[in-house]
Amino acid sequence: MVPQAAGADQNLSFDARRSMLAAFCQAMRLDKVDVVANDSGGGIVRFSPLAPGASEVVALNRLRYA
Amino acid sequence: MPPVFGTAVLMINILFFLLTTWKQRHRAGKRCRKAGARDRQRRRHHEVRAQYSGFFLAAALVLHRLSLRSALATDIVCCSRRRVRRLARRPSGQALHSMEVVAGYGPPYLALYASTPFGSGLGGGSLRFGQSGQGVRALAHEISPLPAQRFRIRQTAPRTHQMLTKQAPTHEYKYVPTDFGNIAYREAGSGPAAIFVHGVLLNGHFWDRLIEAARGCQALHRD
Repeated sequence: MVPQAAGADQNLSFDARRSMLAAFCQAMRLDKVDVVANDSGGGIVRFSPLAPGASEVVALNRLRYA
Repeated sequence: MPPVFGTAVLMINILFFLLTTWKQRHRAGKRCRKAGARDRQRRRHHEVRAQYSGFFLAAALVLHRLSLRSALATDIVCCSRRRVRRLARRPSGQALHSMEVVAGYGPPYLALYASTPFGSGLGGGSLRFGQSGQGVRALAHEISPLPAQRFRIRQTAPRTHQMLTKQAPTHEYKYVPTDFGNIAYREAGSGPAAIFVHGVLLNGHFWDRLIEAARGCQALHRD
């Protein structure tokens, strides 16, 4: 099943998407992950870790908004 | 469609140019004789005629595979050259009446001139309703006396072989419930986890090639 696209009322700000990614990592029980991000995806993980105490390596690709 | 029409149009054009070239040269020679001068343009007329002869000779060599499209190309190349040269002789700033293009020609030449747009129409119709429908590329293949393999454009492999349509077996959408709703993701490989985050207006397939190239590590890409 193909996931649905984001709705018109979905918050796509960096903070909202970063919180969403942190919730995803928490749900997947990922304490240490490498993040490869592109474009605005890099902006949500550029300056702060996904979760307090979580160590991560960020590889950024073609950042546009960070 | 058999190349009968194209051959006929081509032959009419050949006849047209031979006659007009001869008449032009004949007029120039007559004027020179009247004036008692030497026809200095005679060599030039010979050159022009030699050019036309060479072109038609080359066209005749491939006549067995000429069609309407070839006739159209011949018509455009030859007639346009002559018309442009005729227009170029006009002093600048003067409007050109359509009949002035053919002014000075008798009925046989006017009839031949009239056949030219007819042939062009046939050729254009063949381009529009032809069987191959390959356009200019087919035309280039057709009128080329060289083997078609020389001009065959290198075909790149279909992109379906390059893209990750042959996805890894683990590339199936999974969903994890969060406070923001169910987040779809796909998982591939094994080992330390890496998350691939795409930008806005993209989706997880942005990373497909990279995921396949980076086999050996566990990858989670959100969608």
